[in-house]
Amino acid sequence: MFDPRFWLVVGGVAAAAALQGPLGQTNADRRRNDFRYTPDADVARVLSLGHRSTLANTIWLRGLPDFAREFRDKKLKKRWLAGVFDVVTELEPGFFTAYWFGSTYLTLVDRDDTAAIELLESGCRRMLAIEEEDGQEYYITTRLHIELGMTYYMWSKDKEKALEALEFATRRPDCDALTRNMVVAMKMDEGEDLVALTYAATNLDSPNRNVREKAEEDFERTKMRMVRREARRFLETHTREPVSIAELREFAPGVPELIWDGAEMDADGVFAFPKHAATELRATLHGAEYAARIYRDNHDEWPPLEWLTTPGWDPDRPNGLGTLPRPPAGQAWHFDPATGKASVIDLPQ
Amino acid sequence: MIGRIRAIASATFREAVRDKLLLLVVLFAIGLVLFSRVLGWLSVEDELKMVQDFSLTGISLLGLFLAMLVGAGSLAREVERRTVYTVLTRTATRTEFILGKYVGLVLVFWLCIVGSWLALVAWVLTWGGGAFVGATLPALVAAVVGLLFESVVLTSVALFLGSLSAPAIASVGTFVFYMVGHSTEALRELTDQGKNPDFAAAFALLYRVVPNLENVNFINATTSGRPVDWVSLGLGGVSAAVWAAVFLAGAVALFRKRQF
Repeated sequence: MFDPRFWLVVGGVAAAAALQGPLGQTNADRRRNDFRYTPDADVARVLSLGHRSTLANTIWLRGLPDFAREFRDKKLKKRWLAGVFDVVTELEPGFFTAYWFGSTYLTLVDRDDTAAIELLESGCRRMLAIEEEDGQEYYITTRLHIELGMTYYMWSKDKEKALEALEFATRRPDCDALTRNMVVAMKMDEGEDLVALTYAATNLDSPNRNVREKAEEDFERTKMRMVRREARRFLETHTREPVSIAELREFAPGVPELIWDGAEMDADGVFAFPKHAATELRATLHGAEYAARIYRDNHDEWPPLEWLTTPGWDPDRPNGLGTLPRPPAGQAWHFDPATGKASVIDLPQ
Repeated sequence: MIGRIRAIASATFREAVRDKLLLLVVLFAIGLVLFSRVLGWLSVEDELKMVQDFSLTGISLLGLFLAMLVGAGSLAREVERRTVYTVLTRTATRTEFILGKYVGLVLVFWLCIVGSWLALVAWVLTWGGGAFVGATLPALVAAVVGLLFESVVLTSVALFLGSLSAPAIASVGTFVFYMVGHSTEALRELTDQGKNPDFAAAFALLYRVVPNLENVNFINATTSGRPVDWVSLGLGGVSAAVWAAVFLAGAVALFRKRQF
C-alpha cells in the first residue's frame, strides 16, 4: 500500500525510539558525576557580548535543575555549583535570588556554611563597591547583610559576626522591623540597653505613618521588656516582687532612664505599660483592617466581625492571616462594614 | 540635495518594509519576547526580570540581524536589480544615494526596534508587571535609546562592508563587528591589575580604535535598580554618531570608486 521507503522511515524512527530508552539510561549513569563547564567570570564577561545580566540569567536557569540532580561526588558538585553562583553574581552583582538561593543550597547540602558565607560576603563587598561608585544605597545591600548575619547566627553560631552584619543592616533605613528587633534583642542580651533603644527608635520620625507606628510599637515593647527584665532580676535578688516602680528604679540605676517612661504599677502590684498597650492596639486594628481589605478584594464584600475574631468561623473562607487577640479588658472588638474601620468599644457595665 | 536623499530614503523604507526577511526577523524578536515568559516560569523568582533581560537581548539581536540580513545586502540588491543605474543616471549623486539608503534603513530598523520594545512593555504589563515597569521605566527607555544608537552604527558598518564586498561577507563582517564592539571593554578588563600583561597593549589598542558598543549598552542597568546615567548615554550617542559618520564616509568613498 505504501512505498517501501515509507516503511523504512517508520522502521528507522521506531528503532531510534526503542534505542533511546537504554541509551538514555546509559547517559544518566554517565552523567552522575558530570558537571557542565562554567566559564570563569572574566571570560564570561567577554562571552556575554555586553549582555551580562542575560548571560547571568542563562547560567542561573541552566544551573537550577542541577540543584536536585543526583551526583556521585557531592563535594565536587558543591564546589562546582559554588563556582556557578560566583559567576552569576559576578556578572550581575545585584542578583539577590542567586545569593539567597545559592547560599541556602550551599549550606543545606552538607550543613557546612563556609561556601555560603564566602558567596554572601563577596556579594556584600560587590554591592558596597557599587554604592560607593553610585553614591547611593541599595536595598539589596541591606538584604545581603541580613542573609549573611542570619547565616552566621543560625549555622556558624558566631554571634559576634552575626551581630556585626545585622547591625550594619539595622543602621540603614530600609531594614525590616523583624531584623531590627532581633538586633535590639541581641544588644539587650549583651547589656547594651542604650544601643538597643537607639536601634529600636530608628524609624520613630519616619514620614511614612505605617513605618512610624510600627516603630513606636517596637520601641514601647523594647522599653517594656527592659522593665520586665529588671523586675525578674529584682525577684532573683530579693526573692520578692518590687512593690513600686520607684523601688525597681532604685534597684537598677544603670539602665537608661527612658525605659521608665510609661511604666506603671497598679494597686495589685502588677506592672502595666499603657503606652505599649496603646501602640499594640493600634497595630492590631491596622492589621484587622488590612485583613478585611484583602477579604473585600477577594469576595467583593466586607467580612463580618466574627471572621476577624473567631478562628474557623467560615470554613469556606478561612482567615489565613490569623485572628485577633483578646481585646483590652472591659472592651470588645468592633468592625464597621460600611467603612471597613476596626475599633474597640466599651462593654456595657 | 536633501529632497533627493529624502526620496531615496523613502523608497528604501518602503522597500525594506515590504521585505519578507525583515518581517521574519521582527517575528523572531517578538517571538523571543513572548518566549521569555517561559524562561521566567523556569526561574525560582525574578520572573519579570527574566522577561525583561531576555527580551532586550532579543531586541539587540534584532538590530544586529536587520543590519546583517537587510542592511548589508541592500546595495548589492540595488545593483542586481539595476535600480541603481536608474537613480544614478538621474540627478542623484552616489553620496546622496548612500546617505538616502542609510537614512531609509535606519528609520525602518528604528521602527522595528521601537515596535519590539513596545511589545516587551505590553507583554510585561499583561503579566501584571505594572509596578515593575513603573519602577524600571527610565532604565527601559535608556536601554531602547541605546539600542537605537547601536543600530545607527551597525547600519553604517553594514553599508560600508556592503559597498566593499559581497553581501554574505558583509553580513559576516557586521556580525564580527558586533561581537568585537561589545567585547573590547571586557577584554581590556581582562588585563586589568597586571593580569595577562602580554595582551594588555593589544587589548588597550583595540579598545581605542574599535567602536565600543558598550558605550550605548544600557540593558544591564534595567533590572539592577541603579540610576540611569543619561550623560553617559548622551555621550555614547555622540560617539555612535561620529563612528557612523566615519563608516558612511568610507562607504561613500568606496561606492564612488565602484565601476558598474
